[in-house]
Amino acid sequence: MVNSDQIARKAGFGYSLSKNPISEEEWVNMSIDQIKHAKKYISDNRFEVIDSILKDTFPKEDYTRLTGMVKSEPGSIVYARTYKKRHRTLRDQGKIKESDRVWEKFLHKTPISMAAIRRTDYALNTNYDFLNRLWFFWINHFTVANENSAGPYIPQYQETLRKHMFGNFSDLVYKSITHAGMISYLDNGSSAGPNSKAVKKGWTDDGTNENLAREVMELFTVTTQRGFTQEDVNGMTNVLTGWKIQHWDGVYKVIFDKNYHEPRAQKVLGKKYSGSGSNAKNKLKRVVKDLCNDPYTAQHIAYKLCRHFISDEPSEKDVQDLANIYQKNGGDLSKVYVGLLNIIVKSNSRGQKFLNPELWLHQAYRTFDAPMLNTIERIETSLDTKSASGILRELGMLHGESVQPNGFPDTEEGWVSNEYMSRRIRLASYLSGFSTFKSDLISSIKKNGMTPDYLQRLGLTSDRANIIAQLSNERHKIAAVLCSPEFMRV
Amino acid sequence: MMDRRTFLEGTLAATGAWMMGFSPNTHANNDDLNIFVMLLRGGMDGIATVQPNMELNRLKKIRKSCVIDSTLELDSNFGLHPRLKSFHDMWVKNNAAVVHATGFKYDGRSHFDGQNIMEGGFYKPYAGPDGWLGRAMELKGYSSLALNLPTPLIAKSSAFSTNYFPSKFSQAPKAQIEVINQLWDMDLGLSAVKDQSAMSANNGGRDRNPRTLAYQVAKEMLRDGGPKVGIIELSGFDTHANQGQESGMNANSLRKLDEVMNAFKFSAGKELWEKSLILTVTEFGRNVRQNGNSGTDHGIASAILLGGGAIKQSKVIADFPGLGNKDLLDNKDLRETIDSRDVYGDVLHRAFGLTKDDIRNKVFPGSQQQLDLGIFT
Repeated sequence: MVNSDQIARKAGFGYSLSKNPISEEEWVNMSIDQIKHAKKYISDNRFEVIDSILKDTFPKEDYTRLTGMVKSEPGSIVYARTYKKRHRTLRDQGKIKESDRVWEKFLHKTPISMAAIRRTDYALNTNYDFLNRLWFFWINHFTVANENSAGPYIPQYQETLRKHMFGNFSDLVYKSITHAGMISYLDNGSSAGPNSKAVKKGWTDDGTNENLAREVMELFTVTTQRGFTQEDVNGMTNVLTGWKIQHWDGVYKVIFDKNYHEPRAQKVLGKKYSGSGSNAKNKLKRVVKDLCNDPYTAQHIAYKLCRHFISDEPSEKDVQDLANIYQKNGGDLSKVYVGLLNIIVKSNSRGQKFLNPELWLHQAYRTFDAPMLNTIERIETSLDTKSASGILRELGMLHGESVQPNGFPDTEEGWVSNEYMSRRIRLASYLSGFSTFKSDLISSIKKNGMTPDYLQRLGLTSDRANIIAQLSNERHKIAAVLCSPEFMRV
Repeated sequence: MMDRRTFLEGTLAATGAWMMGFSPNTHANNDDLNIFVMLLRGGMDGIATVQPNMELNRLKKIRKSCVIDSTLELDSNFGLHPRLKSFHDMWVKNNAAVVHATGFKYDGRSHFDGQNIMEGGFYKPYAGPDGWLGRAMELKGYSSLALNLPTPLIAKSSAFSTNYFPSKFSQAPKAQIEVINQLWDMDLGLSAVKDQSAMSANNGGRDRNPRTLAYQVAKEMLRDGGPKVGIIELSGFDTHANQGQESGMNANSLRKLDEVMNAFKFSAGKELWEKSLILTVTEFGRNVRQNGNSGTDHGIASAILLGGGAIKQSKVIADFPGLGNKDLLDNKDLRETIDSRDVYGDVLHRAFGLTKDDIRNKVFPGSQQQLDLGIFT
């Protein structure tokens, strides 16, 4: 009987050396069951974890706003507004400079730090392994990073993706691109139709901005493989006009303001979308639905999922099988996930996928029962070794700080460089010796030695297992295991 | 073109040579130059960087929020953005050149396809596993150092490319590094990046300011057997909203670029500067016509800045297409009249002494390579 060790590393966050594996079948069935009862996963929002950390870290006023920011989209808009206002006031009073880093930190880095804690908590302290892996995948697919003041929206944005990733793909796309986070990040909030009422009447100097429109087509759905023209981007841009963040009169939300919407019919990929009044608003839903029904989107999503979970170069058959499942079920993601899991099991692809830094880190923690890092970063100049975000940033993969909207790479080629690898060695060294990472398992290894069956269980070649076994220092053994090719490639 | 396996084996061999103390750069022809590349991600606005002032009236109409009123004079037609002060100093000393209305014959306007083309050097995105600079280095056995977390595609090939970026993690004990290197020995991918402790740059401190990074590059180039090529990445050029003019978002990015060029020049010292070429690379330019948010959307042609003591004659090289309604592409874009591959090809011809045939066949396959920049004498 095949045990769950391999599938847990491939589709989850690995396993603890202190626990015995279950069967692969049991692991897969558990995951499928969790997908079927996704409502339970969705409602398990684990707010109490971040809540208690915030309570211990911040004074009451900040605490209230920060928790509000995680829990609801309006709360995150309030947070962003309040802190920008406070920043402006202090700046105008000459108390701080425009570029004051403490404020930048409060506005952007604190939310990103909180989001990292939430992901770590889900990864290490729940058994929703496969679901959480999918969640992380979507966070990267629909990247929102700390630019254009999008930072404060990031925890809530990631939570929105988690809540909507079990329905139809078009719904997930729609929820992502109409979230305050994405609207700020890709400049849609001030995109106004040239023939809209607001422009005609001179309420605004704004016009169109195609930043979000282009990425919706290129990154989130059909890709440039599909072939689309500037005209299509213009059409998509017009469809998106009017979607903005409203924050006045005590109301904080994302709205569709038809006064800013380009009134005429728009054409995207050869199809006309028209409608006024409430039909103007649902143009976006209709376009997104058509984009998501396009075979190029099915291919794109299937390819990215296979590449993420199976191998840098997934077989055409696996990708096609998954794309077929997507299309047959009209983009129903729950069906896609179950199909994907079966394909991973059958793929026989051990050792073909290089773990990205975040997955590698979580698998390292899990393997040695290391506790979750739960400190919110307070000081920027030095590394806080107890903060998940600080560690992830140094490893090169902190969601919310990717440089470009295509997010982080997802292949070995993208993650292997002298510097990236140097940092993994350094982190492995921390983990093997630092007091932060105290666990019974690590203490026991340091006291009694690392038993040969650990090395065998982790699948090290006998040559490499021998090199490690011969080391006299148990600490070095732990670091070496974490940086072994077998541990980094699953 | 090589497949992935040959690529990795080549990397392995190159690393081996490095490890044995063979310095790939000692066989350098004494006339060869060092190259310092600044990758400008996001699509740099060529118009605001080097403004065609002969079209100023038209610019004031179609990009009124992005137009620069007081540029630094280059020649009777073109003016430089005022935040590029050090670059202008180079210009005055006959150590700088600008190529305008240039691009990679790419009109897809996608950052990611565009960046793949600007680094890969092919005419289609994802057409090969390596980068044009890497292929050029390979022909001469030169190595590169990128001050960046990933090794950028532009430097990839079987030639030895390493990278470095200041870390806040402390160094692991030597014994741990040694055993991990041993574990990576037989691994094709990982053996190429082992023994990071061998890089002297690793002791470069923790300052991540781009100026400091440029200083690191110069310092490494000066080291015996150091890299011939240095690479640094700058972002912030994707100015879809509130691009700004003499000040603002784009001005800040250009100021940073200027500081990097200046830091390299001063850290290099006279001797290295005389033997250096610095250059910018970006995936596309931005629309001449501004968008609805006082910014500019993705465009076509941009400009290339070239500097260094090896340049003997400052000039703007352009076959400028004009900015009238009929001249603009899609009614908003600067047309491309010079293939950037021909520009970088001529740079490599001078810097590494590569023949134009080698450049045409091996570095930029399919390119013309007829261009003579005429700035090196």
